[in-house]
Amino acid sequence: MKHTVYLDNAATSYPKPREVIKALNKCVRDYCGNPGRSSHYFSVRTAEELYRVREDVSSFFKSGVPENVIFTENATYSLNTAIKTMVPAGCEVLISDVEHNSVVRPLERLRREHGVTYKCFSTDGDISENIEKLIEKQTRCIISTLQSNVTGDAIPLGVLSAVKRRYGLILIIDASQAAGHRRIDLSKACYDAFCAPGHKGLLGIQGSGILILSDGNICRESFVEGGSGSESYSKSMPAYLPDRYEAGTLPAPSIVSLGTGIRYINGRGIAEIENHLSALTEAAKERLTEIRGVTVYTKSAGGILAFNVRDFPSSDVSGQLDRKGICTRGGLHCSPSAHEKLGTVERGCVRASFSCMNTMYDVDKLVKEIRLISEYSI
Amino acid sequence: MRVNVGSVNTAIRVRKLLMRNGISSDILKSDGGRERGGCTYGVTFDDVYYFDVVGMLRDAGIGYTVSNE
Repeated sequence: MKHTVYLDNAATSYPKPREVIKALNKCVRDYCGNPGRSSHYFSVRTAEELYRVREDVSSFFKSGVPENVIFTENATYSLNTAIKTMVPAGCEVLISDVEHNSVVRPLERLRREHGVTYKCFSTDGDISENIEKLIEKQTRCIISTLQSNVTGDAIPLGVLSAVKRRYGLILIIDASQAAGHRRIDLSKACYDAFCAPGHKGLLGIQGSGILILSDGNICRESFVEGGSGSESYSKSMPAYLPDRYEAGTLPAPSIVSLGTGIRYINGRGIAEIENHLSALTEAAKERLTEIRGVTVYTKSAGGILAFNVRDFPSSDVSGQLDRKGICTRGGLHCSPSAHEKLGTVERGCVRASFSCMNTMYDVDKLVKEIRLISEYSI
Repeated sequence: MRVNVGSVNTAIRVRKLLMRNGISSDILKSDGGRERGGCTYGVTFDDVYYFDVVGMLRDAGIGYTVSNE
């Protein structure tokens, strides 16, 4: 059956705006050379387009100079780069109790190989207090998502920034679900690294991610070494940004699509998108909660809704929705910590996640099908 | 006249700076030689703007070397 309702935007957004597809086609068809490698038209034009995207990103997040914007292939790569170059050996790290494996797995490796330890702070109640009561002499770093990829519940950037400032800790932010879905102003924040994918809320295609380093985070170790397009005799990666963290050929078409996605968001207005997502999530949450046998886990209305239906395995519910042309995701969502917190480790939950391209029609379809599933007699 | 500035991103930044001040320019890549670390990107412009350009680069804190072309 042709899918008509796409509610898996937390995995990757769909559809992309027409402008993104057009810009992508134009790039691949008309000018896509290897940026920063030659001085012919294709190479320089591509480099200029990518610089424009750096400007778009730094302006969108108010993060300062465009050179602080580093392109990666996704948020996981951005997080790995930040975590593995910034977290000192032997220190303690505080993470939220809803972190994704893209944070937990690199930390586990640092634990095994470099003696790093980590503790989880609760995201219920007073988050600032929850973090502060865990801080000890050896605590050096906080790594936190701005929004759970399972429930969609938010962790305010202001709270994390304030704790970082107060205790002089390193702060690495995972904005995988928040970027493009809510207003984020880094000029008002105190942070060290900000990570986001290009292919979710920012509406680019898969293959792009961003790592924004705050000023002063330049002299860390490089993460991947390879060609950078200049200073070829040097045996080390360049000492300046963004080149230090951009080894090898950049995924230019993906990055161009990311820039166009941001321009689309600016055209609609991030505030309008935030309100739109809130309205969709609130409507879905309210109507699903009214259905007997449905348990909704999400507390807020930020574009993601986590729920279960009776005692059905979440993958069965997702599978049935899929057969009816509705795309959702069941299971653990690469975030077992969040499911431990919810008490859903055994069966996971169903996640419906919206983008600015969804409408109330999609909510109506979802609710209608969940109502039918809840009435199955087995 | 060419000023060599290192990476392509710096060259783009310099070109934009010159454009904002009404100076037309192009980006070129050249071999800087082993003693200068290897390949470098530079920005070419009309000789007549030499002092303006050098002043702008200094004000912007951008390092450069000069080649005559």
